[in-house]
Amino acid sequence: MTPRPAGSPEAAPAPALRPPPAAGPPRRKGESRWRRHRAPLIALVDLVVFLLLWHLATEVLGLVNRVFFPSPGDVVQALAGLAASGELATHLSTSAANWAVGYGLGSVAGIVTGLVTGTSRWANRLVMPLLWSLWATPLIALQPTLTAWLDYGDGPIIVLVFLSTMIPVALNTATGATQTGESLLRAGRVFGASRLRLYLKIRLPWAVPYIIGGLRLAVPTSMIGLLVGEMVGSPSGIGSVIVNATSRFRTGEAFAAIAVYVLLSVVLVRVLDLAERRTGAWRSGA
Amino acid sequence: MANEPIIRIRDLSVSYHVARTGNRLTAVRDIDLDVMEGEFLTVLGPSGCGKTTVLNCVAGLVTPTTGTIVADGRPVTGPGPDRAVVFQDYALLPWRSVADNVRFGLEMQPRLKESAAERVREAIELVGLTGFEHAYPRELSGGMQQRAGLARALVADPRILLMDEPLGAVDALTREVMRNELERIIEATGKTVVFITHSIDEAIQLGDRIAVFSSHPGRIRELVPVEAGRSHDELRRHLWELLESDARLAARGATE
Repeated sequence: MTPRPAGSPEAAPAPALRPPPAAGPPRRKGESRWRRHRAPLIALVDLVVFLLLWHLATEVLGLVNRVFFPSPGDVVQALAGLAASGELATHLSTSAANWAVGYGLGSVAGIVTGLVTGTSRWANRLVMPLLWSLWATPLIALQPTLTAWLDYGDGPIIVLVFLSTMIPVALNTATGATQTGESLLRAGRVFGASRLRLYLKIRLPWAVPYIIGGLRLAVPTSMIGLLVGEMVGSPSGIGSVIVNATSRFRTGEAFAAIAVYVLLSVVLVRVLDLAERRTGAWRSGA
Repeated sequence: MANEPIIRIRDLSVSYHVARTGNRLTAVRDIDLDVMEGEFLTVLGPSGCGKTTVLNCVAGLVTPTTGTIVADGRPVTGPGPDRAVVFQDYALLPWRSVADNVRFGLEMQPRLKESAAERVREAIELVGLTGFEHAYPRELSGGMQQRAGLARALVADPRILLMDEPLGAVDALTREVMRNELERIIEATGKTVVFITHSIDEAIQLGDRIAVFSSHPGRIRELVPVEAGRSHDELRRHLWELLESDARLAARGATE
């Protein structure tokens, strides 16, 4: 987790997930194709080498006890088992529903909070210190209290996802809203925009790249919130699979659940990257 | 030209509280100015003489400390559809295409909703941007961005056009072209224009009358009519005499 939200939308995307910039001068065809696919190819080779080494260490050389440290084959097998029994679908749908509700509500709350804090000096002084303190708080610390308030089940999980989404989104949106061009606001007033319209037509679209940066940052943090909530006293969800499987020495299943979880995070971040490139067309001039 | 002024400024003063020093800074003092219907008034003055402040007061963006402004028969209390502004930095919304930026000039006026598409098309045609409707501001040159800014200001057909150094940020060659273009467009629409500039030549070429400002505090030094009989050089010399001492001070970096 980065200690602070990415301030500028240009800085937000991790370089590894971006394709290399298109080559400027024309090159030979083969060379340009290699350039375009270089980054994903390297990532793929990276992954394959990692899996091979893992396989080698666990199955071929037997360096570790496979009860505690499964091989890639064990994980795939466990995953297939979970999928076949229908367990995977059940747990995944519970997790997805809780995450979607928390992330959705957290996003809306974060955007509204960010827009208001970024534009009103009083709101800024009152809310910003609170947001930064919450951002610095390990949310796992809140989990026992939340459970005491809301009982076991979906309640504390949704609240954890909500908080871990809202805070980075609000902080990033506030950064963007603070920097709204003064002359754009003046133009808005000249052409008859009311206070509300200034928010809707100028501040909100201006902040969109920052909002997406915040939403992107909120994917891993909200997933951590989800997992923390599910790993303690939840009967279902991907997190509960990890805990239950580990306690029964079915580490393959635990690893399979972790893999599913990682895959989901990566896919969600990719989706937001695409959204960012779409909506940010006016920035790059593409 | 009608006899009743369309803009009437009386005893206008604006002063700001400067937080850093704790003093009050007088931007402009005792401005009296009438602008007639259909007139092209150019405002000439050194940097920091408060000409933009006066323009912002007429636009309704700045509240005068003392004095009154009447525009189109009504006292100015805020921005209104009778006045539009063309900004030095264009102030186009970067996420909107040219056509959508032009539409911004009328979308807050429900009475224009039905004629909107037609008006946008006409305004774009008038400023010579046909074919660039779907381009984004940053794909356009400075001159073309300002054409879009002008189309946005004209699209709702305001009676008064306020232009704050609209050619201040474009390169010298584009400036020459745009000056002639502006002359053509304003002539075609018959608007009343208040046009701020730093350029003596621009003030003479475009203006029916020139308001020369002096600084510290900003006030009107002289109102110079641009008559057909007077030669360009003679007028230029006269304007330079009015401006010289202030301009030299400003160039030496005198305090605001």
